[in-house]
Amino acid sequence: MSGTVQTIFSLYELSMAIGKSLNYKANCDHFMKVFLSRKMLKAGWIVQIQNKNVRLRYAIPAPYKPKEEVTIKYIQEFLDQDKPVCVAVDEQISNVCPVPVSGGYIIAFPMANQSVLFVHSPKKEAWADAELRQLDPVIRKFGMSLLASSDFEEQKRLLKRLERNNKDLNDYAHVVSHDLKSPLRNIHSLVQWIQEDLEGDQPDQAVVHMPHIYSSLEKMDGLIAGILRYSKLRETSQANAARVNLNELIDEVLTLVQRQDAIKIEVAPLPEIRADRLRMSQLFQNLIDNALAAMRSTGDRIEIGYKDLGNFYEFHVKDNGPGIAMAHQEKVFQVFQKLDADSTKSGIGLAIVSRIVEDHGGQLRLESEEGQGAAFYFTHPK
Amino acid sequence: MIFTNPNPKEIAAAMQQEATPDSLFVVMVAENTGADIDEFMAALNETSCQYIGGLFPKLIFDNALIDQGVVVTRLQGLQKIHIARGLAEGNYNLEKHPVALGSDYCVFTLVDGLASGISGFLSELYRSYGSEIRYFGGGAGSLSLQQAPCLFSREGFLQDAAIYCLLNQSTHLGVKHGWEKLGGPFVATKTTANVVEEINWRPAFEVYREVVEADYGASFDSQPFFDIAKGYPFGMVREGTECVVRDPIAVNDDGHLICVGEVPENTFLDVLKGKNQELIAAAEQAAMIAADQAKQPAAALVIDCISRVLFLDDNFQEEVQAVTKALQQKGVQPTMRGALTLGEISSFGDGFIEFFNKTTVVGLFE
Repeated sequence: MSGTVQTIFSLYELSMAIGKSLNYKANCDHFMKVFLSRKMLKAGWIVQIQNKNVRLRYAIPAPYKPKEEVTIKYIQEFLDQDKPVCVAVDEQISNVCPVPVSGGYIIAFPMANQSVLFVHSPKKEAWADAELRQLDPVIRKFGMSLLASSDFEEQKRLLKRLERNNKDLNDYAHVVSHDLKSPLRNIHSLVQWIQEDLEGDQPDQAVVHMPHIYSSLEKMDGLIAGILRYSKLRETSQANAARVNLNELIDEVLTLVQRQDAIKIEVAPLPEIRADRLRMSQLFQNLIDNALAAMRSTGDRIEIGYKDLGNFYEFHVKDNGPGIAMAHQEKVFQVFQKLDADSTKSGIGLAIVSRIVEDHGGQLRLESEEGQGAAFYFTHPK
Repeated sequence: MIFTNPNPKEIAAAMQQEATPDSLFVVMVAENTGADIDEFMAALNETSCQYIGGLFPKLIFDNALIDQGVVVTRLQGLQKIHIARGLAEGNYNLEKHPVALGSDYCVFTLVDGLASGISGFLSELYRSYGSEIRYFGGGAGSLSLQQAPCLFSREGFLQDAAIYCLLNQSTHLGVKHGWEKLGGPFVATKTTANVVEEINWRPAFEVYREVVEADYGASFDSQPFFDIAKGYPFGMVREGTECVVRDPIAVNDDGHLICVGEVPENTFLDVLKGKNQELIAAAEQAAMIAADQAKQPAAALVIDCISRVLFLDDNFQEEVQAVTKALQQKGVQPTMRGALTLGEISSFGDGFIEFFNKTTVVGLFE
């Protein structure tokens, strides 16, 4: 077959692999699989300059180096050239690549949205200018489809936030109409009884009701404090995101929580992540508090660890406490839902955790069987 | 080890005798053996051996084709055995290896060769273990092409799954098929996973039969589909290397071609044709490529496609002998063991991991 026909078919195949999904990762996966397979490439990754930071948006295979090591200057030079460039792999380039590369060439394709697609070809021959020129419009089209994916995901995120805010409003209404009303009714009854006791000249009897009034007031105070705490939970934004050393952060959290010495907390070495530090601190504190609340005896243990799942991490906080029955598992993530009658608990801890995880683009789940302990897992994009 | 009349306890005892802490035993069972896999697993689970296994249409031991029996090979440097369940749905998360691995590591994998989603699984495997290590493996399953449990390990007897093991062992691979272009290029304009519905915007079978019948000299109406199609697979073109073969095994009532392995939509396809001597020479070449890289291999494993047997028929024995001879000539000592599979898996640092059909993959483990 002539080279020209092969080139036309190859460009057609690549063009048709663009935009198969509105999900950013799925869009990349589909295109990059075809690109890597047909062109005999070993790796590909996309970096974007965003808010004066370099953000690694995608990589196959999964990245190893922290994204900060990919310098802005290095990326900006490729963007400024505004055309594809093929450069031999040397020590300097291999140091800034997020996946291991040895030998061959790196080809950089500038794309829309301050992004650059890099691929690694292990072949000994450099790519010809003609090949780069032919691929340039295809890769730019791919870049535009990624822009559409980003916009779609942002729209989805905003919609989800709106839905959550609406749900929060409903929850507040429920708290005011039901949860706050219940202690208020108690107080009303107790005051009536006190009045009756005083009218009946029985002050000793009236005094008996006072602790119950204080208890109801404390409950109301706790609920109102909880509402305020949850409503003040600020939205996590890229502007608040920074590198967070999770082991240091958890050490700090452990100084804040109250626990018996008999309860062991084992923390595995954790990775550095990009996140809102204050929110991550709240997240771990709530999960650890939640686990500690369930534990009482010697031999009780909490484990904190993670798995690297390629494009994201999955963290866990596991305990060997009494566990949570299947029937209650959905309920625990709802605001002001408590599984016991302990008036000192606000019932918002896990709702806060859920919100922080979602704000960082992750997902929270619970695995538990009654009597077998509970494990909370949450994902966090790299 | 070969067991022509397998007794699970005898096999378990033999494995236990050879076991070391980092050994992985690959237990290959020919489907016609009629073995009770549960009984097998019960016996193997009583040992301290780490093992994985599969049911395959046929096996290879030395230069012989085995229709009934069990062949066991021991690989070294086992780090961990993993299972991915639910390939069709893709509901699995493969843990990324915490540090970048080099060419002295290999992932050996067995997949349910009739599962859909194999390509997605292999992409995730590549994502998890990186581009520098070696990948080697094949598809288990029955020649009847009926999907059923076909993989086993201590985790159970599995279907729609993959078992993969990380080995700290240098592995040298040779991959060749020898099929050559007959017609094309075409574009698979409509596909769903492993079903090619349209080629060049026409019903796939209509286009395929025009090319094939012109060469074969007889109509598909006169013979069962696969009797002709086994000699005319598709090739998915890759630049600067052999194409990836896709085997059309059946045509459905809508004129869609059902292949082993996925064909992405808009893939650029050729129709291929095989000649006995070229296929045998390609298998021999695969053995030589692997042997040229190896110094003192401790194990030799061949993963060869069952449809090469169906095409080469009695001449397949020549292919096995050619591979064995090539390895011996290059001074490879270990006896060659292997399986005839439903799809072959390989990547050796030259590009993305692929699921092949009608291909010979020779692996030498040092």
